[in-house]
Amino acid sequence: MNQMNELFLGIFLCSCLMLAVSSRLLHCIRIVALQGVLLGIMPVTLAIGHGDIHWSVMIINLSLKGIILPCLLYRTMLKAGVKRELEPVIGYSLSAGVVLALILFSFFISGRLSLPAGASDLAGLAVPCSFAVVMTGLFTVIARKKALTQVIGFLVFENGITLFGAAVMREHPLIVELGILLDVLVLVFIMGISVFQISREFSHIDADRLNSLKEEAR
Amino acid sequence: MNNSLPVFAVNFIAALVLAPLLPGIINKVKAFFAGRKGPRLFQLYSDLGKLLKKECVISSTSGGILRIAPAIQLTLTVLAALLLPMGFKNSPLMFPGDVLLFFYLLGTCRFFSVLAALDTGSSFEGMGAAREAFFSALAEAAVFAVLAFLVLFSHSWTLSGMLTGIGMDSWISFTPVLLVSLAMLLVMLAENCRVPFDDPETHLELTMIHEAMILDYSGADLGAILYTSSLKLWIFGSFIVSMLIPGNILSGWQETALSIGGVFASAVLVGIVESSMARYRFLKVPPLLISALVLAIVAMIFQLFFNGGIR
Amino acid sequence: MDIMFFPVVLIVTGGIVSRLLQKRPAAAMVTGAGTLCGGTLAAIIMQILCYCHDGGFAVRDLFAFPVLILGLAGAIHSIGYLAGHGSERSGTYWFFFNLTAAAMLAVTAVDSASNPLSFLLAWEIMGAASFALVIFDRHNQSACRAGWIYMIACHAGAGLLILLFCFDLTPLWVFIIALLGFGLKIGFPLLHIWLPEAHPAAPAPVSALMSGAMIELGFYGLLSFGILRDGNIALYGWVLSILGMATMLPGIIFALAQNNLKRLLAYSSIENMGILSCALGLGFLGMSHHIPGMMICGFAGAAVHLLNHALFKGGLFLGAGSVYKAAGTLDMDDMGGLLKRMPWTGTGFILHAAGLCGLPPFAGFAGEFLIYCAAFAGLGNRELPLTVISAAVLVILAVTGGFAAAAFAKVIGAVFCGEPRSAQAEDSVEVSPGMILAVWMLFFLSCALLAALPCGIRYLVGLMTPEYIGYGESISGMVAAVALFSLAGLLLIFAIMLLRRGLNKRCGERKSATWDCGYALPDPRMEYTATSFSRSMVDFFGSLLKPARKISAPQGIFPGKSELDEEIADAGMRNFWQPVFKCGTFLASRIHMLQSGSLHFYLLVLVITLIGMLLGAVLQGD
Repeated sequence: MNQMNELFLGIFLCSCLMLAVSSRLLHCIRIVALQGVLLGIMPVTLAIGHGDIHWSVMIINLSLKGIILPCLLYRTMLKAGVKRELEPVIGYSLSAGVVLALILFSFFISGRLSLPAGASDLAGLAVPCSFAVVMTGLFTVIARKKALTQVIGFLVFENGITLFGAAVMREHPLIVELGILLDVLVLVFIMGISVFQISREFSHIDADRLNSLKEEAR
Repeated sequence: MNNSLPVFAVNFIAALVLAPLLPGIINKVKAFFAGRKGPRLFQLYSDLGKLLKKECVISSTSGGILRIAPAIQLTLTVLAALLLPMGFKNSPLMFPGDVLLFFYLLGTCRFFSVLAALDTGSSFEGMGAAREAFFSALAEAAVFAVLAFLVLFSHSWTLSGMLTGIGMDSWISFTPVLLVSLAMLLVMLAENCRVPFDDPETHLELTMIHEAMILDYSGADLGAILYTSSLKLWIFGSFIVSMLIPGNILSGWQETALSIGGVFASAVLVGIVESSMARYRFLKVPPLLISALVLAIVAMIFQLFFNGGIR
Repeated sequence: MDIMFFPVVLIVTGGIVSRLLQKRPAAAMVTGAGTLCGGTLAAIIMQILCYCHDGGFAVRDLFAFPVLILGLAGAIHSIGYLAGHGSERSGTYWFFFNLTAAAMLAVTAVDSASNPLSFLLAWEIMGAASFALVIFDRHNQSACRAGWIYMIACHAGAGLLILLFCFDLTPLWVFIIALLGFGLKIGFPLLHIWLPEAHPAAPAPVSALMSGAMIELGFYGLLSFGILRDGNIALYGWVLSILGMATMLPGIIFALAQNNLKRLLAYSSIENMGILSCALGLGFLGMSHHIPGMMICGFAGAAVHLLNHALFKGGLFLGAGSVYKAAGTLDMDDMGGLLKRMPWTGTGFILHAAGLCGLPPFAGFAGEFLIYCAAFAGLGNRELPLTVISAAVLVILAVTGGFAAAAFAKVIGAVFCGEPRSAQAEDSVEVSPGMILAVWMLFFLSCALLAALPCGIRYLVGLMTPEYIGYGESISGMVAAVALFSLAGLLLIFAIMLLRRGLNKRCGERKSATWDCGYALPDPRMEYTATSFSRSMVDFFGSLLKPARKISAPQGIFPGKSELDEEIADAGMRNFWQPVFKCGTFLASRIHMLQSGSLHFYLLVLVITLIGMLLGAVLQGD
């Protein structure tokens, strides 16, 4: 099933690229959902030949990241009434270039890391891919203005961490995984509520305008 | 491989003869999705026949480029087709590095089509020409990244070797091949001016690229241009098909059928893409072309890390 | 000095005599042009006789060729170019032109290894004489400014070279200093600022000589003095290829954005020097990693590209000169429709442009082809860094090629196509036959080059590296295939044109106004200009180009005159040199405070200096 995993990782990288170039929030949400579904399936394909399948992790990932969170985001999007990221901090062409640079950098850097002994045989590819996903997520948070896109970036960031864990650790630290999930869930809820509030108050959700809330220098 | 030359010849002639079918197929598919009947499958043949009989009107502004451009485009596209492996058989004219000649011949076609558009002095054609020059320069990056991947993958410098030499082995690790095919599909859509890069059926000159550039052709010249663009579609379809389908799994003539069927299938795919999405805003085209480049580079990374044995 | 000594002396003498005949312009022209043509022709014939006699070949012959050819073509072109435009000072012109050409020839002819001083002397004369030519149009403020920038660049380079010759340095330092010193000629990033200033200012034949041959001499210097046999070959390869990539892409992007014809060509020269540097870099990488295919393709590609650039860029600058002569402007937005008015120059220009873009039926493709092949050879090996750089070169070269095609499509479209957009362009007529001849001569030479290339590569590989003759055979086979394809393409195009003619005889052909989507009166003002052609691309690279646009948009129901003015300043100038110069000016103004005008203060300074010196002497004595 190594081929399957390789394909999944390839799709993961492509999804990062699509995230960087798509301006529609709906597309971004779909991409996150796709990543969630992939993360849900990956434990199965990874575990074939190794024994145990962590059904619990799989089901939680699939349901939470593949379905619940995207639905929440979609609902927030409808409520806030925004469909597009109109004026990104970094343009889409440049974003694609930056993502490429990030991918190259992650492959460069992970070739120089020593992996733990228990790493699976796919780790050579999965570690750089997960790095790339993590960095793309962070980049999305930096390069986009809308609060919703930033949440999406955060989710992608978390997906990268999960991917890293899934690929590197054969023994899944379930507790850690659940802890992160819980964090993200709370984050999305809070952001969902606050985005709604912000958009009701200010009729926009540009997070960078929150800058004006800072205390004036005297 | 004694019979490879006749198979190639038959395939080449089939490409020349059947190429005008591709726009027909695409239109049929689009009509199917739109619930219309659509133009006949052989519409372009009748159009070509009619155009050859029509009077030729040349812009009085033209300094002569407009007149010679169709001949250049037709000739160089046919020459490029001669370099492509057909029916999974190596081109008899292949030589190491021919892949560069292949893409540069297509590039020359584009250069002269841009010049001819500017030669008329029409603002619409200038608009189309500027867009074509811009987008094709970006597409070139993706094309050559794909080439770099193919060289890495097949260790061959000939187009035939790159495309037919891959064989069954390629499917042992198919992810890079899939990625690169996706990149090549994007390039194919861009180079042939299809949706999402350009809408060949729009009637608003402001939004066109290729169609805006050929506004001033008429008669036999227009026929040559239309035929050339259908042949170009065939060339790119055939490129992707030979890249994806490993040769030597069937006997000679079945392969021919497979390759021609594959090209038709690629036309159907283009039709499906066109029916399922709208043309992108021009601002969104460069990111898409850069994405094609990134896809090809990601494919290269996968290839290097897994099959090249380089760490 | 070798046999080249005699042509050099002949050309210089002709120049001096021409200067003495200043009062009689016609005689000065005959002397100057005659000796230059005679000298270059004699040198070419002597070179050929030498090959036939002993069959030797040295790198400097490669660099002497562009000088000779462009000297000849420039001399022929100058005759027409000077007529009615500076002909009363033709004695001065020919003096400096001959001196420049002779000095360039001497640069390639002196035995640089044993006699660096004469090399330096020739190098300096070359710079100084060409400076005089840049400011030939001496009443033009911008030409003088360009001349000063050029002068500073020349002397900074020469100063570095003196440093290079005077000290006994390690190979690394030799390489760095040579890279800076000769890089000022070549136009590596940040060192390139004189090119886009000096080329548009100089008379066209001078620009052709400078762009086609002189900046390439920078590589000659770099190869003869910067690259040492005991140096780190791999390092040379890495630096040159990365520097090449960093030169070519910005070069062509800036070219794309220009609206001054010769300025655009100057930026395109920078781009081509980047390609040349990349090719050399790949060659050195192949040498250090023992990949013969990469080495041979890289060096052969560099050589072919060098000759191609000399011929095509020389032809383009001469063509631009003819256009300037006819239309009286270099602003492409004010031109248009010149192809109909000057068909010979226009066709020659288009062929040269297609050649320079590396499009197949012309010789330009052969050079790019070899460079791509070098990158292919680098891809096939098992070392990751080499694979990465080869892939990067492949992609960057392709993008550069694409934008070069766009840039020259812009030039041809704006200058030669459409309808004229100014009265001057409207009235332009074909230039004199000599000027046309100069342009076409270079084109035919490039065709001959393509035809001779397969044999030439095999011969040279056999001569330089006999152990790799097998590679030479296969590479020359590849180039022969390219040449044959080009020939077949040209013949087929011709055949189809005949076919079209027959067809149109039967069906009829007539002329009519351009179809403008129903609008009946297409007007030149509606045309796509040079600025509008590159608009979307300039916007795309906006963060690099930082276009300064002044727009007065049409307003109201009956809009008055509206205007768009776009200016693109050089990034190196804007972001690096201007701050540096500003800093220098600031420091100078501080020092300027010393010059207060009061005698007491000067005396004070004098006394302080004296005391300081005395104290120093005393302290040293202890």
